[in-house]
Amino acid sequence: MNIIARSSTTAENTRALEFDKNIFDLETIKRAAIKFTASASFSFSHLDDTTKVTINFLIPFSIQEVTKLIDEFNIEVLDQDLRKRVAAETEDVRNLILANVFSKITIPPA
Amino acid sequence: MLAKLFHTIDHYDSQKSSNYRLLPFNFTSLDGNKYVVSNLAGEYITLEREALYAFAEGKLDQESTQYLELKSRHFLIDDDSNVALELLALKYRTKVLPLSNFTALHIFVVTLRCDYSCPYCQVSRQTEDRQAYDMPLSVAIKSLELTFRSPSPNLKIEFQGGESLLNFDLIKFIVYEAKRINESEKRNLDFVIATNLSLLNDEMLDFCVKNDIYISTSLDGPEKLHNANRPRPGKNGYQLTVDGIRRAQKYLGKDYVSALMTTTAPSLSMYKDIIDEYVSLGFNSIFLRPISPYGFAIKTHQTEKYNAEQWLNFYVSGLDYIIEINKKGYPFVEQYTSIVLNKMLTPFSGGYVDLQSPSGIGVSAVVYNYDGDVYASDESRMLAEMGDKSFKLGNVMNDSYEDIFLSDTLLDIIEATVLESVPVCSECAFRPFCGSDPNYHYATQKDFIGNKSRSGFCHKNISIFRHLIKLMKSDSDSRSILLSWIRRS
Repeated sequence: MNIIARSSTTAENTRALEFDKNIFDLETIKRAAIKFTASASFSFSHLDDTTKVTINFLIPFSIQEVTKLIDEFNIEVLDQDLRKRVAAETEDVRNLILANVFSKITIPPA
Repeated sequence: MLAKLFHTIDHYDSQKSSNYRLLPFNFTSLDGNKYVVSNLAGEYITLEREALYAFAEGKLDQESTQYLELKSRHFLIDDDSNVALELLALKYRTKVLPLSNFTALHIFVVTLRCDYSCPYCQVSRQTEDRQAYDMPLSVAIKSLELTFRSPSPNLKIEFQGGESLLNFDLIKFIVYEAKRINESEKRNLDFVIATNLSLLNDEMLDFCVKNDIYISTSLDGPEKLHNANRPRPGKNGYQLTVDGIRRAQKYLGKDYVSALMTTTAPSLSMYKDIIDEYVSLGFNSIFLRPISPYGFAIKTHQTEKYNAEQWLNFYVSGLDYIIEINKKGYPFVEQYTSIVLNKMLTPFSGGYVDLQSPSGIGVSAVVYNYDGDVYASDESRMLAEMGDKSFKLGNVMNDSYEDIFLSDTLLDIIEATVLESVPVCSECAFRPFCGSDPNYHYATQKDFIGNKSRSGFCHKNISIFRHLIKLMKSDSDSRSILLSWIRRS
C-alpha cells in the first residue's frame, strides 16, 4: 500500500501526519478522525500544501499499537474519500429513490 | 469477404453491458481486508477491499459472481434493466411504513411496590407497605384514553411495576375497561403482565386465561445465581418463580409465558447453566440481556462489574451453545439474535424499541407511570427514578394527547435520532440493522446520540452484526438454524 501521509513523532504520546491537500480535503480527514476519538484526540492545522493532523493518544500505546492505529487511520481516510465520491455519484438516484418511497404520503389539510 | 458481412456472436449478446451505474450504498469493515456493503433497503454483501474499490470505480468484471450478486441485490443498474430503483424504493418504504402506525406498546406502571430487592433493579422499587406508590384509578382512566388515541391498529397494554400483581385490582379494572372501549375501537388488543410470580394465585391465573393475557417474568438462571441476583427477603425467590412458571404454563399454555434474564458478573461463566435452566422449564427462547445503566444498577455499581467485551464473549458462547441445542433437535431461539436477523434479512423493521431509527421512544412505546407522569420509554422512567426527568413528556392529569406526543421533548429526541443524519451512523453499512438508543447514550454520555466511538451500544451491536454475518458465511448448518429464527414481526 502506498503511504498516503507523512508521519513524524513530536512527543512520546503524539504523532503528526501530513496529508496532501490536493488529494484529501479537511472534511474527509475529520470524518476519519472521529472514528478514533475513543483512542486519541486530534488537532488540525493548514500548512502550505498539506493539512497537518496531530494525534494525541489518550492512553499509552506501544510502538506497534501506535503504528497499527496510524495505518488504520490512513485506511479510514482512503475509505472516507471513497465514500465521498460514491455519495456524490449516487446523489441524484438516491433522491429519486427517496422521492419514490414517500410519494404515497398525503398530508391532511390543516 | 463473407466474414466481413457477418458479426461475431458477441455482437448480438444483449446481456453484455458496456458499463454499469452505482446505486447508493455504504461500506464498513467486517474484518481484516473484508467489508460489509449495504444499501437503503438493508440488502448486504461482503467484498474484499480490492473488489469494493473496483466496483466503486466502475471496473468490476461484469462476468464475475460478485457483479451478479451486486446486481441482484440492487447495488447497481446496467443496460439490462433499471427495475432495481423501483424495488429499492418499495423495500425501503416497507421498512419505514410501520412508523406511521405510531405507538403500539403502552406500559402501565400500576405500582412501584415490590416484594424483592434486586441490586440491579432498574426502576428503584419501593417496599411493599408504601401505598403512595400505587397508580390511582383516575390516572388509569386517563392513561387508557391516551392509549386509544394512538392510531396503531395493534395495541399492547403491558403492566409493570415494582411487582405489578401487588395492584391486581387495578390490572383487572384496566383490562375490563380497555376491552369495553375496544368494542367500538376494534383494535388488535393484547395484554401482558410483567411479574416475578411470587404472588400468583388461582384467581389471577383464571383471570389471565379468560382475558387472554400473557405473562412475562424474570429468570436469571439456576437457583443459586437467580437468588443471588434477585433476592426475595424471607423466601426462596427461585422456587417461587419456577413454581409460578410451571403453574402459569399449565393454566395458560407455554406460548403465553415468557421469561427474561439479566446478565450479572456471576452470570458470565454460567451461560450453559442459564440456558439449560430455560430448556428444563420448557421455554423455547431466551433473551441474553446485558445489564442496563439505570436505577439501582448504577447505585449498587452493578454496571461496573463487567465490560462490553466480557458480555460479548458471554453472548457468543451462549449463541454457540444454543445453536448446538438446535442441532440436537430442540428448537430454541435467542431473541435478540432473532430481532437482528429479521432486520438483516427481511424488509420488515420489527417493533423492538431499542433498535429503531428514529428512536422507538414514544413512537413505538410509551409509559404511564403510577403518578400519572408520562415517559417516552421504560428506560426514561428509570432515569427519572434516578432524579433525571429529561425524558418526561407530561402528566396524564394535566396534559392532552397533543401536549404529550407533540412535545418538544419528544420531537427533539426523535429528530436527533434519525440515523440517516447521525454522524458516523449515516455512513455505516450496519445502519439498516441498527437503531438509536437515546436513553442509553444520555445515561452514559449525557447526549441523545453520543460519540459512537465510545458507545457501548454501538460496540455491542456492531460486534453482533459482524459475528452473525461471519457465522452465516462460514457455517451452513448454523446459517440454516439462524434463518429458521426469522419471523414476521
